[in-house]
Amino acid sequence: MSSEQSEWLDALWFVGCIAALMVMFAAALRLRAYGAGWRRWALRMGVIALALAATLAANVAVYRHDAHLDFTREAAFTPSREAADIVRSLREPVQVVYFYQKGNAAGRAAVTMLELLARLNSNLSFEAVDIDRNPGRAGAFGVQLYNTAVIAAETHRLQVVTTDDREIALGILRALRRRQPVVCFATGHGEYDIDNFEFHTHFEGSHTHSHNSEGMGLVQMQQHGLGRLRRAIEKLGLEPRKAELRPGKSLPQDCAVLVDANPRTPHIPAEADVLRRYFEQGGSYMLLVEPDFAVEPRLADLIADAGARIGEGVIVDPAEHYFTDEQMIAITHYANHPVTRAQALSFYPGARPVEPAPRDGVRAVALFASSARSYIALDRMRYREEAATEPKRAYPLAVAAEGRLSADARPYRMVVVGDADFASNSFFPYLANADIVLAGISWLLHEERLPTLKPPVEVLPLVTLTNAEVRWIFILTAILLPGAVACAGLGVWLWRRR
Amino acid sequence: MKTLAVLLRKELLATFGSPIAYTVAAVFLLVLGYTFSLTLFATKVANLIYIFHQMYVLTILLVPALTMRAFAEERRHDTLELLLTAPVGEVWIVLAKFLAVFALVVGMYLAAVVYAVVLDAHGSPDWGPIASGYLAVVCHAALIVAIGLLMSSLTENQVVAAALTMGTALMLWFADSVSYLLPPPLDVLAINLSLIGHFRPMVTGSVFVSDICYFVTLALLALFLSTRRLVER
Repeated sequence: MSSEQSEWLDALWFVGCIAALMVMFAAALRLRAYGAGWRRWALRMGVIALALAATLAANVAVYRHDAHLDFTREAAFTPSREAADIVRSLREPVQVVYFYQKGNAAGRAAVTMLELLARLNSNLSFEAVDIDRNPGRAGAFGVQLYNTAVIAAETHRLQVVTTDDREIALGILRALRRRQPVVCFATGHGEYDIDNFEFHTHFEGSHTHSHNSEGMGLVQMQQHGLGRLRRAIEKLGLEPRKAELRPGKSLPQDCAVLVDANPRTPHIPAEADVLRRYFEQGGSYMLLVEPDFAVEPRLADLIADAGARIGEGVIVDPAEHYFTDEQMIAITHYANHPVTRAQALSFYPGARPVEPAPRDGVRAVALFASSARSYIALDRMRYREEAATEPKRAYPLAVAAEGRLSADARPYRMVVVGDADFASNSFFPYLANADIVLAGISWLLHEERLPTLKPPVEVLPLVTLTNAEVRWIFILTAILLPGAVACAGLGVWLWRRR
Repeated sequence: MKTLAVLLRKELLATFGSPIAYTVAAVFLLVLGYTFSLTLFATKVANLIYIFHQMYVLTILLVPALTMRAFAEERRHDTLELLLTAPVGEVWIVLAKFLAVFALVVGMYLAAVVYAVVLDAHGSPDWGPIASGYLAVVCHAALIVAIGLLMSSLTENQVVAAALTMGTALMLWFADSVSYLLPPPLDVLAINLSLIGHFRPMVTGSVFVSDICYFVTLALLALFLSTRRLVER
């Protein structure tokens, strides 16, 4: 039975209970009082007790078959699609105990959301505990903070401190994992650090804050980081870890994915051999490479063998860009691929072309591209001057490839994006950037259905008023309206005195 | 039904012909208008959640003044016996009195629609929570009016009737506060008796059918007990 049908049936319970109650009350009204003294009182009390019991029963029945309607424009009281999908897909029992404070609105809203989620699948059992009323229960679970969800599955028990249903749903996923895949982040070439602070790490100079080409020469840039990506990965139940490409040594066996985000110093040829062995052993690799970085030739050949050719220069797109920066490529259309399916707008601040290089045994797909009016500029500072001579066409920015490097090798997967900033702390949370990079990691893990994390943003509808409007609103609502009613009352009083 | 129509007309004339109704409505709109203006100017948020909570409180404070005289005054003027000896069912008398006061309260609420119009003129309010908020205050008013009638049917003294109505509404408001003192399953019962617990989600746009059921069934219970009280006289 679909959830909509179930809601309608629950609504019928309400109608049925009210109708039954009215019939019972109508019947009880026909009872005539008889007798005297205690008999009369007993009859009276009996009728009252029965009426109370019937009312209680009606409420219990409707509560057990409750229907819920969300009237808000933002669907603020409807569980998120990601959380609902996770709960619907549960195949084994999971218990969620939520510790909150009844006086806290966010905590109450989380309880409501979890109650709604629990209705989606009988494998999810839910209990809400008010810590103030039941501190002993919280102590037994080791809970010390309000708004803590204790999630218990057969394999794990863990705590998530949140009021967001998505984070609790991701906690459920974590509790259900039989193994915790490791996502390795390459180090040793000045790559983005995953132990970075999560806030913006620019040092501002005399120039105003800017990410475009004009700002490059003046704004001192501290190393950006991947702290936000690391936190999102941890929430998905994955284990982030640093790994170094060492010539002559293999990558750790448990690296389910290797992410190389913005290498800045040149690789040595032997490192390409390490990576080739990783590919041959069925590894998954994500390379996020910035413009202006010279890819070592043997590494570039390996990437091309695996299905992606990294181009030179920076893409300039006069048609599809973010704000006024033509080098900040905005993407609205994507290829039909698990990484990009149903994704919203994303943007790439300074990107180089990455073309698919398919061959026998390798399937390579361009995930997204700039508009047909874009061109390649080799000098980022003088890109407008190059616009006249450069050919205009759509340039792919990212490629997903899968296949085998040789007949006896195991199948690998690879994602190459001609930009790394989009995944850094500065741009990760905005638009669909987080969705793209997390979906890429999910695909590399062969977990295409893993949800991505994007915090919900509630926007309050605001009013803007002039002084005159403020004055008139006050006069209308606080003086004229009650005054008119008072005058009507005075009129009635005078009329009745005549 | 014809009996109800005749009785309702009489009750409506009595209710809307009374200066008390206009005084209560004027005070209601004055306090509400003042609150609306100050809240809007301070927060600049185009919603009516504060106003609905204010309506909730004002209903508990003012409706007892409207219902206290329903039966108490008839009994004091000895007109209740006359009414009960007429060939009309007690249930119609109770329903007519309920609908008359309820119509007045809903009329007061309708005047408050002007706040939503002001928000619409100067912003882009979310109409869903406003609609569910009106549903909440109307359900709440139906319950308080029904409780007021029940209390009025129990006593000849109007002040006592008003005090009992307000006291019962306040007890229901804070019913959940004592839940931690009670053993199960009485604690669950106390939590679910809470008036504000069923009201609060509705004004924010989250409507559970069980919350509507709470208001409707308790109002029906109060009307039933009022009618039984008349039947037993």
